[in-house]
Amino acid sequence: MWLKSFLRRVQGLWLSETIHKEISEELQFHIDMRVEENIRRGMTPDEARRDAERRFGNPMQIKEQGYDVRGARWLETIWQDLRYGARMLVKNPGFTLVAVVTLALGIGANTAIFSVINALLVRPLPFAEADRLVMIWETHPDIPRAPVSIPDFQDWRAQAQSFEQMAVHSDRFRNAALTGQGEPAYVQGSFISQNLFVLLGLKPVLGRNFLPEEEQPANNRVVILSQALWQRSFASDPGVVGKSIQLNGGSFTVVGVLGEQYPLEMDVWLPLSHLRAEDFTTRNYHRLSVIGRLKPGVTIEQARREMEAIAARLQQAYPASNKNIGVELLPLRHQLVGALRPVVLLIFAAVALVLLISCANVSNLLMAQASGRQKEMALRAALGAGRGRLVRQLLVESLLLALLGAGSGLALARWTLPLLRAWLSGLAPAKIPGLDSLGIDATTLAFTFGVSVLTGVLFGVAPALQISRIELNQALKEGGKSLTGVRSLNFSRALVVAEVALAVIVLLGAGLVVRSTQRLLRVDPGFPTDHLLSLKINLPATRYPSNERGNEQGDTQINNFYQKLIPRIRALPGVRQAAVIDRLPLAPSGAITPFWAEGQQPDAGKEPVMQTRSVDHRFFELMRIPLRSGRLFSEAEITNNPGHFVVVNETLARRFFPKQEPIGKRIFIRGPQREPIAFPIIGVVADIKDVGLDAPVEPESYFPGVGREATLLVRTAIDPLSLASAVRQSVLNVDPMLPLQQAHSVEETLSASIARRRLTASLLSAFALLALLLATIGIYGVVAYSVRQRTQEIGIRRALGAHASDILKLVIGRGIAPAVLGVVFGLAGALALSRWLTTLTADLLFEVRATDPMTFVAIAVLSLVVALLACYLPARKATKVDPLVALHYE
Amino acid sequence: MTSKQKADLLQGTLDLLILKALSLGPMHGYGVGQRIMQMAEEMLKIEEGSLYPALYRLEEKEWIKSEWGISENNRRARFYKLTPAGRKQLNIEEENWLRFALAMGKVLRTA
Repeated sequence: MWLKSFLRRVQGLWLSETIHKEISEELQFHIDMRVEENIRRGMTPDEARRDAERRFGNPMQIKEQGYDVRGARWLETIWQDLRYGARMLVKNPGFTLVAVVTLALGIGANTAIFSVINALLVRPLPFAEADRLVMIWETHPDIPRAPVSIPDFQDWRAQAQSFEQMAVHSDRFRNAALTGQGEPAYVQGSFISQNLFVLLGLKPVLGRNFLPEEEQPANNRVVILSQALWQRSFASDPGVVGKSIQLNGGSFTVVGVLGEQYPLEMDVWLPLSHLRAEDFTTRNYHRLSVIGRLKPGVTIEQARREMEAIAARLQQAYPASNKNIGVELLPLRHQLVGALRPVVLLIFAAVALVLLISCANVSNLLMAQASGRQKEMALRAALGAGRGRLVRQLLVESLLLALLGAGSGLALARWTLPLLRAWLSGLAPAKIPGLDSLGIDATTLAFTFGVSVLTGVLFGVAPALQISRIELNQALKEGGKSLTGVRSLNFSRALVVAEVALAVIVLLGAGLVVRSTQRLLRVDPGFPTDHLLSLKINLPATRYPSNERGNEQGDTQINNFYQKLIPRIRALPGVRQAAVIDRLPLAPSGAITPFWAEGQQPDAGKEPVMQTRSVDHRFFELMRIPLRSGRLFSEAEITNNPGHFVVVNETLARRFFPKQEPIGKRIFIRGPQREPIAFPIIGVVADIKDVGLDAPVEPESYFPGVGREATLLVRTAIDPLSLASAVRQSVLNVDPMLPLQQAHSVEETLSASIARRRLTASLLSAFALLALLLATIGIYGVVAYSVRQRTQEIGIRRALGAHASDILKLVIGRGIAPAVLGVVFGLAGALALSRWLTTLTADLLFEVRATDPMTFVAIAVLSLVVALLACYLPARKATKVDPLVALHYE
Repeated sequence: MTSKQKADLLQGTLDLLILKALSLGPMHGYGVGQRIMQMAEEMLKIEEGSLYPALYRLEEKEWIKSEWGISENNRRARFYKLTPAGRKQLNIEEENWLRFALAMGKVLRTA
């Protein structure tokens, strides 16, 4: 009833048109009826109409009067309600403060997390019509998204009709040396097709894009700089276009400078034709990331079907290379931020629950206030206010509270945004599009407003209905207590059950992630990570060419470099050992190599894969990786042209040579012409966590030799970082022209590799503790209220000889019951949700199942202890009740 | 149209008359007017249009409520109905009015 009239009035605001029409129709009906009646009584139609109009009076004036009442009056009453509500809030500053703070925490957390979702998942990417951009990958049996070979891409581009155009980039120009601009520096470069920036809708801030003729190898010594590099290394020189710069010892002409919108961290772009000639002819080298712009109106599904058909044709035409190669399309946004999605949504779910708990708390506060307002309500009812009017009044107060909460929440959210930005950049090592623009925009404001209105109704409606349900006579007579008090107390207890249950669910979610992180920290990487320093080395190919056989190993400049370097490092005070590996373990080697074991050759394309790394002869000793059988590489095998043999890890030996002696057996990998090359196994070493702490050990082969791209490892006797500059200096003493990155301790690297989990765990824990805090306040509030309500009863019990401990038991017993029920419901709810929770936290959980009993027990105990504490404080106060005072309480 | 003399409507009595008319059952605005006329045996003069602002006011106070329905001659018409609050109000006002009328009568007769 009240809702209808409220809606009608709300409609009035926007639908005044409708109201005018309705009034006109109603008045017309009246006049028509009168005319009919008159005719029935014998008047002529003309007479009848004139009489009807005369009796009716001035229709315009009546319409206006009618509209004033139905259309506009409500505004005035709302204004009255608002003013009255504001007065009530000012009159109860304590209540208002607690309610607003509670709501500000809930709404603020939601606003902050929503602004993240908005920036990452809602707001358009900074590219022209970004919703039509898709990444196109090849799929291999074990690899869901793999780079694409150039001939495949050319076939795709020629055949696909779904795309306006396709462009590519190949980030194979990593760690290029930029020289001639002060200190030598590493730059990250990408080879791109000429149309890439056009397709993305990016325009250079200076100069121009590549020209089609610059795709040709004859004209390809041109480069586009990033704005960041231009500022960093060229002092924002406006005349940089046309100048020549030195990259890896070759000179390139700058043709343009690109702004900051490019989605990957990149310093320079060069034409695609810098890839090797054989990359353009064979389908075995997968080099390209492909991005396409869908034609308007074409869905990604249609494009996927077409691309799958094309891939199928390629499989038929080139079975040797393409036998198992499929195709996968991914919206660009998903490509860029897809990995963050589940984490952000998990956090959003947590803060949504926190907000619900805030609502329950404020609902309870309103309830507690209710008994004090019974008389006021009864009075207003007696003066003629309908129940609808009272409910509306109370709802307006709730909305006012919610909006105050939202205002403070917004301030809170703005304050936490820098923290969230740090969290997000810790989650993903790459550039996150939209992160820079993380802030509170119109969408977020609209969200916050919407949430606060919803919140206001949610926490306001039940108390409003409850309070306004007054037995008028009784309320006036009894001064407003008794019945409603009992009823609202039951309602409050139900709310406590609900909020404890919600808090338990959030706590469990956080608990599982925290426990996973603890487990992860206890994982043994397989080697001591302390006192270990690492420094990346990247020798430019121009000054460190491969030998005449095309090898980086053997009798080369590269080898000489390390021959000179290692003794210098080992001579530094505090250094125990130095060794070289191409890429540090604890992360995928980046070289996933198909292979097969002797006598087990599978069909082409079905080969198992292994990790491969190149190491020198000191590596195993430095890492303290024990030898299980056979032998390790000798110094001569590294420095002279290394032979074709390998050391494998135990996992490989166990899986591919079960119950056999692996030493002397051979494994095969394919060479450049797909010819099998045999590698005899000379040794088996213990497993280490080769691809990451949280991933199972993979089969791995260590090949002898050192190359241009390498990591220098130094085992120290003292704090490894204290040797960082000495080690760098030693490298520069061997080659003063070599650009160097920062040296890191391996423990730093290790901790960065689990940063994603740790950061998420701490954020979730923060929200979980907030949930627990709010639920505790809720319990406390209800128990304290019930003690106030029952002061008289407690006084009587005391007077009749009850001990303080009896009172304590009584109050705590009644207070803890809903909390216990809430814990039970929360645990049951989490169990029911566990499947959903498992998918949501899949990449956050580690060796912990979503139903982990330890976590469940711990959270249950924690919640109950806190609940007990929340009951104990008001219960203790109850024991201090003076029977005499209590009896005179009324 | 009739020989009886008609009295002008006293300020504030129209609401009471409407409530009384609706106490007999739901009716559209025209019908409310007709009922009042019949009950007053055509002794009251009402500007029929003024019924409507009064109806809207009463609805605003939630003493009556309205919805669209079909009239006896099959047209769309807005029907009004007394709410419980309206019935209570009618009782109060009836009593007040009778007491007032009684008092007025006494005063006028003694004068």
